[in-house]
Amino acid sequence: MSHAKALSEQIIERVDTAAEALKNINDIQDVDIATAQREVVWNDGKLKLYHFHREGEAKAHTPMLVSYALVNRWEMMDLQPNRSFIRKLISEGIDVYLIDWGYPTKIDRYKTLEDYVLGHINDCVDVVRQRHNLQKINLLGVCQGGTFSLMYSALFPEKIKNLITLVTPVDFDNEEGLLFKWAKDMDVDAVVDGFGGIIPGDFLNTGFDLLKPMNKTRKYMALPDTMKNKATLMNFLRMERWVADSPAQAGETYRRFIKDMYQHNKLIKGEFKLDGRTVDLSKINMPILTIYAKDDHIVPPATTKPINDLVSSKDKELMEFPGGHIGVFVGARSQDLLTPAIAKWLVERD
Amino acid sequence: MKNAWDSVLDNQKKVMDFWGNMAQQMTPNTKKAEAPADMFTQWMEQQKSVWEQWMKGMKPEDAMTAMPEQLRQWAEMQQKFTEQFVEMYRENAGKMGLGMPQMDMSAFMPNRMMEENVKNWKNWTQSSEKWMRDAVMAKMPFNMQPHYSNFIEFFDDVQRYWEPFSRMIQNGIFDKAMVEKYFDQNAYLKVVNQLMGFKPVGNVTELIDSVNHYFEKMMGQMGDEASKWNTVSDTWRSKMSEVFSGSHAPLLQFGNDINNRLRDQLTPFFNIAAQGRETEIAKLMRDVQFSYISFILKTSELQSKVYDAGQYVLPDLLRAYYEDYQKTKEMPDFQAFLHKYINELENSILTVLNADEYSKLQSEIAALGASIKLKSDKATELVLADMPFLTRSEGDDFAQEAAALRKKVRSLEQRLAALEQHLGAEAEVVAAESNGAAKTRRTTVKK
Repeated sequence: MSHAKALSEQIIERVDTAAEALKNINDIQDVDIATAQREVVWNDGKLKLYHFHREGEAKAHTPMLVSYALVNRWEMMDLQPNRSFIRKLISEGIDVYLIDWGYPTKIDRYKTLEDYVLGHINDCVDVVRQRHNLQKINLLGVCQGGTFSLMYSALFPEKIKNLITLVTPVDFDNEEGLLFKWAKDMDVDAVVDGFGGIIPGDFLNTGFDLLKPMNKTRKYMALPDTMKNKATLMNFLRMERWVADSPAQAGETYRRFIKDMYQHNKLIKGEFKLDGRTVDLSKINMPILTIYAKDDHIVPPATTKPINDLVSSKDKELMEFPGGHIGVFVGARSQDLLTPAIAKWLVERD
Repeated sequence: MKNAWDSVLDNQKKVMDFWGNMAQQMTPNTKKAEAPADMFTQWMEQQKSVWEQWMKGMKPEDAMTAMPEQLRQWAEMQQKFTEQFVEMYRENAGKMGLGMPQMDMSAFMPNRMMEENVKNWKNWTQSSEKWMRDAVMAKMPFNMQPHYSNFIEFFDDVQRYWEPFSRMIQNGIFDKAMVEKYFDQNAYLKVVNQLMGFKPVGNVTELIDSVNHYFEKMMGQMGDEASKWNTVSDTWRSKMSEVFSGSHAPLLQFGNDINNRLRDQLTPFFNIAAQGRETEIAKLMRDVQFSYISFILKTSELQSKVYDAGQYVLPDLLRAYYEDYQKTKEMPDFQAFLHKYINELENSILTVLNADEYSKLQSEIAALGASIKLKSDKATELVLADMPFLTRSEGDDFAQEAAALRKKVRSLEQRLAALEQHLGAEAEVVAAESNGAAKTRRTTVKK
């Protein structure tokens, strides 16, 4: 191709892109996120328990409580109307509750894993049980929130009807993921104490960014194309907003999680205790659905798959999602395949 | 709104009109037989017709794409003719009582005009690119904006190198030393820093000198008793300068060892020094100082590992593209090249990030950074002692109280739940017993 032709093509492409982008960006007034209708049905300090609005009867009689990770925010699960894990579950007939952990501040530096699992999750489970006058409800845990859900279900199996873990690490003794390798070497005491007991969200994000150091560059390189289409532009801006919204973590919880999980793998060994009570995963006897993402670089499949071997449930299923950690919530396949499969699994066991 | 294409057409029309008017004014009086009015007019008409023909039934964008070669030839024709015309005009204008036209003569040089217009296009596209970037930036969360700015800087920097890279691909220049003549180490380090979000340590020797300076100043506060410090500090500085003249990673490790050894040597001094707040502050500041030096050295070592990992990526990539070019005679576009470069660079860097050594080093740096903050905070607290501020330690007390209360409340809740369960179970038993008794009674009554 001659230089002149290449130049003219480049110019024309840029003119087209700029014209489309002008229109698209000017149309955007607000980068809204997590717009599914919901109400706060209970709160405890910074924690809020949401119940998502639904029209008509749920197909499953038993409601489902979602326990998200302490890393980043749950809004990923309702990124935008056409890419919403939560909306899709609701449309598939599931009654959804969700725990919003809030934004820890310095007063929370001594908040422990016990506070989260035995305190907050237990309180929320009880609230939902009382609201529906049920002995047992369904629990869905996401990533670290899934590890919490496993701990909780092992200690309170009488309150959980069905358990779903989504991209949840349980076997931390592997080197498939960089995060698992780095966490083993981390001087977590120095980090927690140095940060004054509250781990900044930016510190955590920097670690996640380094797992795929060029991802940001790729994302921004694609921006001219992204801007040609308003929907993709909005999706980009929403993701940016979600990534940027990274809460700090309570230092003591972080310290314990890194030490007991990443460094000593205590949960899988049956050595992990909460308030003196051993968390024995074999006490999990309810139906369990374990979902992992095939290309997950944050929680690789090898860290998730052993879950089903550790529980005593007779009804257990391992489901592979073709995508990455984030794709589980926002990808097209999540909408088309994963959420309908989860809803079906729950309805069948209702 | 006029775009750059309109401006090309406007400019062209202006030139055409000028030619027409000028020729009409000039030719009736000219002595040059070789330049009659009809010749100019005819020539101009031909030009116009060619131009119109090109534009006919075709969008300007398509014309630009479809006929760059014709445009070039046309521009050359115009230029040649213009030169002849201007020459003739110079000879005859005075005789005709005409001055030189009040226009920039470069505008009559079609080649230059085309260059100008291409420049305009470039300016326009650059402006539009800047505008697009600003518009996106304005919609981004504030804490993502630095990442995007960093990317923009990276992209613009690398784009500037695309032309030499293209020539290297075409001419088979991929030897590392040769590549570095165009894309030197500083350029490479800048790119890696931008991509990895590194804050470069820079010149380690200079940095340590400046830390030393601060260190000396702080030690000055300790008075005459600190005479030993000068000796140790001087020795330390000269050793550091010696060690870091090469700024290579193993030397950095060595430097770090020296740093730690010196810290240990200095500890006894503080143990015998007077007690009190000032001494505590000085101790903390000394620790901060040494930790900071370690932090610099280790960060520099870590960054060196990453720099080392990617240094052959560009030469290797240029070689691969050269080999493709030899077969296909087709050049990659800039975006494709950049994507490939980023992917290859990431693969190389990930090899380092996966290494045990890197993991340990990264952990040490995180711990050092955090400990510097902790010590600085403590020193600040001591400085501000007795001031009406809530210090970190005092805030910590509240947090501990809150944690203890949470635990007590949870314990009470659990006991209450157990009690309720127990009472509930008892009530059920009582109810069951009383039901059973009633049934029995009924049965009895029936009997």
